[in-house]
Amino acid sequence: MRKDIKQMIMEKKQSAQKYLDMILADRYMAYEIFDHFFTLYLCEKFLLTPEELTTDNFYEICQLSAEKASNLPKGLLDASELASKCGGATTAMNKKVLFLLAVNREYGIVIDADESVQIETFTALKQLVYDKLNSK
Amino acid sequence: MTMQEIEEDIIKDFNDLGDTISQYTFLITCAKECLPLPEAYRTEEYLVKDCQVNTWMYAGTKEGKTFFLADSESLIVKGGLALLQEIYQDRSETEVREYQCHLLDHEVFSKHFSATQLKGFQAIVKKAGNI
Repeated sequence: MRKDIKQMIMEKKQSAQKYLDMILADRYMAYEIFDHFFTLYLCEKFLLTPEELTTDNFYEICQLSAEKASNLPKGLLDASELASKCGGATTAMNKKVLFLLAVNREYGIVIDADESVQIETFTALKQLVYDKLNSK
Repeated sequence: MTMQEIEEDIIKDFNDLGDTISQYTFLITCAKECLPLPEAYRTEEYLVKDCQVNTWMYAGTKEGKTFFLADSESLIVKGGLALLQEIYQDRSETEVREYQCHLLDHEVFSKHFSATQLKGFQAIVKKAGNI
């Protein structure tokens, strides 16, 4: 039901905010602690659990998120969207872009277009965000 | 709720969610609410012509009530279809005739779609209005 979906996403949004607040309250925290909270932040944004992060490839994480949201089998969503002629961007690509935009806005940092393109792993993203927070 | 009230409630949901990634997640998650389109209607005859991605629509009336079945190979389009379905499903012909769909006029909704996808939606809304 639409209302249940909205309620669930609102709750996840509040949880993500909680992890964001923890990180911003102590932006010079040890990397291991930042890693923990930022991973939880991503999971809330992507409606995933930490256990479902079975890959470090960031695009694949975005795919996992899209597939979970759609209830489609692994691999099927990307295959059908890439085969289509519509706009060129898959749901996973859009999720990646939107997440990076959210990180820029919510963390008060700038991950520019060149840096965005070079982010291939979640580990690389975490390190980049941590470094940018620590450079402020 | 009337068709107009459902449309307004959908827009309120988008506004309440606030940020783009939450709205986008909402839209793609709504896709699984889309009533299934039987395989028999995934044919050339039911393709929405102005959609670049394969999108099928089978809509009409049965025993005085509308039915609106649709599917798309694009998840975001399918999410939009699920919301349109909620508006148009199980309505009388009078209700459909008196309702003007302005869902696409709201930026909180339309911003998640490309120009091409919006053109396809316009075609779908036009077809739905003629149920």
